Amino acid sequence: MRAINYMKIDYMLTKQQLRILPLLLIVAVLVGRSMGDVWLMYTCSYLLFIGTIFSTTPFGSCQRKNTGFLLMLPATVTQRVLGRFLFGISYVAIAVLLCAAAMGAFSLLGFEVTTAMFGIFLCNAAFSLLIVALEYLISYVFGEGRNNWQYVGNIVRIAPGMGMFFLIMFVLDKMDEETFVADRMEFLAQKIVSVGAAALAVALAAMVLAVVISIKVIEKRDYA
Amino acid sequence: MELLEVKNLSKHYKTFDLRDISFTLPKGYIMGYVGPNGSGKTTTLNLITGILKCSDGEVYIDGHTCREDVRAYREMIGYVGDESYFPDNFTAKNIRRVLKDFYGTFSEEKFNRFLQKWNLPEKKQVKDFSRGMKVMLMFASVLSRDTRLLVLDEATNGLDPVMRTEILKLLQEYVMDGQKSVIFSTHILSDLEQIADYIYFIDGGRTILHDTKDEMIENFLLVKGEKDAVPPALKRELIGLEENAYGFEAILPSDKAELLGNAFLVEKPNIDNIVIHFIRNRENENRM
Repeated sequence: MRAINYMKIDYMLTKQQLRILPLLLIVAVLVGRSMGDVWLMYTCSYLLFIGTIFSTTPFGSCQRKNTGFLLMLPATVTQRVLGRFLFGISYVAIAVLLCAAAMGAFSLLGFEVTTAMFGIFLCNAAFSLLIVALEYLISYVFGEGRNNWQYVGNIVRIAPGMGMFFLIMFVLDKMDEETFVADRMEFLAQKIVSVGAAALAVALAAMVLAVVISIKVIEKRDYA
Repeated sequence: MELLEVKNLSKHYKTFDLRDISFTLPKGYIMGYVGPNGSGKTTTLNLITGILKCSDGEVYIDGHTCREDVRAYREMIGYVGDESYFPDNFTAKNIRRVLKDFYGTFSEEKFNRFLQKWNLPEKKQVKDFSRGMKVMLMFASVLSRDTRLLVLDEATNGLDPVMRTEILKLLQEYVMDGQKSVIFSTHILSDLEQIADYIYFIDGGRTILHDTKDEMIENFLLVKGEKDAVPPALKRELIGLEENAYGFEAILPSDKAELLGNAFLVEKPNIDNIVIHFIRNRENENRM
């Protein structure tokens, strides 16, 4: 329960970005529409990319001197770290839900949501979770409680999500061509359930591992 | 019955060591924790609140350590610092929400009463509050729940006299039931003259003096006079000897009063005099 309360605190800390989410959804659709037939996939990739960036905002939202109130709350380090991870996961979940809504709208408009598209979306979601796990781990190991974190933190927050976005763009481009990548994607699409499930399982295992390591790191640190 | 017990507390940093701090604070009393900048006051208070981990030693609040049960331990503490410890974009409304979620004894009614009494806006962000408003918001957040120990780290610095007086009155009311205590670090020693029962004085991370305020004042004499009239035997005993064009000023342990004779002006010191002369004494020793 305390972990959920910490997640609520992170939402309070980052309330500004919640307000711009609807705007980003519109941007995501507009950007996607300009990309041709596979616009839905661009839109989803963009939303998940935004999700990975927004999920790390609490790390940079306040300086150490302004966090005494939060550090002194009656809770364990485990609850505090878990709460932050729940916040990150919830942002990916919001992005996934928006993508699902976009897929529904896409389908209602008469377009076909192919198995390959669904497969890429699942892998993209799993990849987003993996990125959040990695960003959080880096933030806890090198960041939280350290004064020089601000600059490095900005890179850690943006770079992995951006990398994922461009990778998906690359794959989608290649899918339109008769290439080795397209062949492999066709092969993966045929095994979509197992590929998606495996990707999600790996992402969740990584998330659990990141939580455990982060708790150990913060427990050893001053200002815990 | 002791509320706060600090046993052989140490904290080692690369450039600073806090060493072997030990004291007890009974229920219903106020302790002034004093020392110059960088003497280790904030470090000690952070160790007491459990935000920092000690290298050695232990802190007990009502017999419990932070390690045993961090939740119960922190429920007992109310901390007010010299600057706002709330996230900048929080409002009083956010703070009330968090307090409600985390503290079993939090009273929303009390909190709202404090907001009203001190004219603290609910929807304004903390970063837009004045310094006085920030301090009062911190007090509202700790006084609206059942704490046992108030830890104040220079909380009255920079406040106007009216606000300071109000806070000192609040602290006296807080300990009135004989079950709660306050440890209070400040540079404004006149505040301590008014409300402290005990004084703990540290410098360079080490204990210099520790006693009840009244005993401490009794144990020293403030001595003034012509510098040439000081015999060597007396000079050795004087603490923090300060010479100027008109003469000298120093403090002397009361049990050495027989060294004085009739040649000097002797007064009862205040806490300020004692602390300043001990700091000067250390500076004089460093110069030699």
